[in-house]
Amino acid sequence: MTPTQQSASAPSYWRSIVLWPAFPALLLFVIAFAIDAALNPNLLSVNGLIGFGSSNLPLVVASLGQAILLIGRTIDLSIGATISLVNVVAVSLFTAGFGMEVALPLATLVGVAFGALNALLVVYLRINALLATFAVSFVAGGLALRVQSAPGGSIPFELVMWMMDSYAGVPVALALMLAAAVAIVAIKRSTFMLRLYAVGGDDAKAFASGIQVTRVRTIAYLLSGLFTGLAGLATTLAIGSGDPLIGEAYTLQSIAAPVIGGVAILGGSGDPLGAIFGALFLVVTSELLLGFGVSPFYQQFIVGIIILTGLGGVVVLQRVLAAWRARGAAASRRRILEVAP
Amino acid sequence: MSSIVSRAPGPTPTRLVRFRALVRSPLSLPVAIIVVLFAIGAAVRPDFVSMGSIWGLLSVASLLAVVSVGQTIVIMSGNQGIDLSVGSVITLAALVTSNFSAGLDQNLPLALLAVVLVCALIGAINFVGVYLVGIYPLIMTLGMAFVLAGGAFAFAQDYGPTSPSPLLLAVGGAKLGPVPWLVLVAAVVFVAMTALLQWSRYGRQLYLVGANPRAARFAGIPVWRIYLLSYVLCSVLAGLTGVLVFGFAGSVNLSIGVPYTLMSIAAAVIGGTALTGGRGNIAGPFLGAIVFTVLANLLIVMGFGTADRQMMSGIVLVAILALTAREKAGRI
Repeated sequence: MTPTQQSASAPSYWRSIVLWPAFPALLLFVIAFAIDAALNPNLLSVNGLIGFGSSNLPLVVASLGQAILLIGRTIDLSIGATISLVNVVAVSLFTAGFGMEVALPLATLVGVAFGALNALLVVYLRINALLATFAVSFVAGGLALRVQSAPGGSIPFELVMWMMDSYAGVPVALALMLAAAVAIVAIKRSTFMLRLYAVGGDDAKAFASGIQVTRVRTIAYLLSGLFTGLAGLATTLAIGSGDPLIGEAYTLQSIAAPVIGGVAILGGSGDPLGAIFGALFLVVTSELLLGFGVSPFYQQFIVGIIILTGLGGVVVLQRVLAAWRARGAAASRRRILEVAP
Repeated sequence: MSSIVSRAPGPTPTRLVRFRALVRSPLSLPVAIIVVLFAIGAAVRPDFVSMGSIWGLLSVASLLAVVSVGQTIVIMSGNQGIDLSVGSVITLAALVTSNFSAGLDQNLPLALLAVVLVCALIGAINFVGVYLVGIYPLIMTLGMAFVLAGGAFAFAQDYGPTSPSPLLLAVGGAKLGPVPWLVLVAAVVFVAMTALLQWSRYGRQLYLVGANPRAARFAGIPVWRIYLLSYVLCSVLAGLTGVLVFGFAGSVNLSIGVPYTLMSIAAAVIGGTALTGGRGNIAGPFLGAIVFTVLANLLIVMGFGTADRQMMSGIVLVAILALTAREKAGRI
């Protein structure tokens, strides 16, 4: 009995890793990062990792917020504009003479407030999420331009230095990225997340089984707003100044990242951790092309094709894995039937 | 048998019934919004409703209307259909027109042909990604938008932009009598697309496929052909918008199409197109486009600055959506 049990458990361990929804993105990221590091060994130095961490932290954090929403079968198109708003609010609070113990939490609260506004429109007024959050992106973008009409301003120098610092060879930015990963794993294990998966899978069934759908989705928007606020802070610390349009690109990238990471846009499945790998794959591929000496003019075009191929590849891979899973289920059913009299 | 006939004697079309049908039509709400916006405009500045300003407004709305019609068709085809690549298609089409026509009228047919071919190809690739590979339309067309934006950037580096040819400039800015050419082009698109949806086999099948693709498949409809044609039509109409935008603006830049992506979706939805597919008509996106343009003009007339205008249009858009695009509750 014992040897057969061992031989049965070893492959099933690998199976569970391969069948992990975030696995394709992890694989893509590891391959892209390895090639990138081989082309540019400087990337693995402490300074290289500091640059890598601090410039990519905002997208990673924003993608986590978007991933939570996608799992709950909703979406936020205002993330980019809100990141800009958080950025200019933080800078203008510093300019007004507030210390960081006031400026940083207040700016983060702006993100949460916009999460609450989205929840009000999408969850309570039941406006289509795509359109409601698109409209909110106008409000946030307009407010950002109102607060600061052109790039400028600065934040305390020691904050920028802290982001560029490292302790015992570990860059602060990378440590923060790790903290975000730990946070999302903790959130994933909560009852809230269990309910959110149910709501994202089928909200009518979730409601019928006693889940308060509106409350769960509201919490999802508030959490996502918190992540957006933190992404805004990460942006502020990375660039050290204010720019009312800095966040524009993040909206669509924050959707692409979780999807590459195996989170289905129709909700109810996927691992939010995959969003981190998806986001890092996105940024590493664009760096990679520069390493290959591709003209910057063609960079975006080729990155776009790689992303599209990646998206298609993930979908095809998931279908293959689903077939594999179904075969495994059929095999285990057969085993049960054989054992049963 | 006779009892069945006598049991269903449809209501006689009295004036009240006809009025009720008019109010319940999905088009009555955008019309009401337009009237209200015009009334506010007239109160702020009396010449807001002059003929000249209305024609100018309609010609700007025509640009958005043409791309919104394509968006409407893709949304109506159902299966989560949506096209987020239209903005990039508009930019690319404007660039292609600028490059192929090189400012000369005699090159314009060639440029138009190039635009139609490129856009049809883009639509076909969207279809392949959505239908054959199985990527969700939102994601597929988003990826396509990435690719095309990059392609437009690379294209613009190799081929510098030129000015529109005189004919294209005339279409973009001049008038035939009191009517701007842009409005005439939009009117042709309106008539052609309405005819296509009302009387062609494709049009009738589109409604069924959008409402229930399974039923459509069992009814023997070649569902893939409907999807293919919808995505191709959408991209080609976006390409046409790109050509018109080029003539209207008189120049081209890499972000010229960006605002159209989400505005085309919003215009379609305000015009009564259901995002779940199968419901909608061609008049809807036209009215939606007019709503947007009147709103933008009204905010300018009221003297708001850029930032406030953006903010206000967001707030008003929320209000309009709360009236037009509310969904059912997720409960039994």
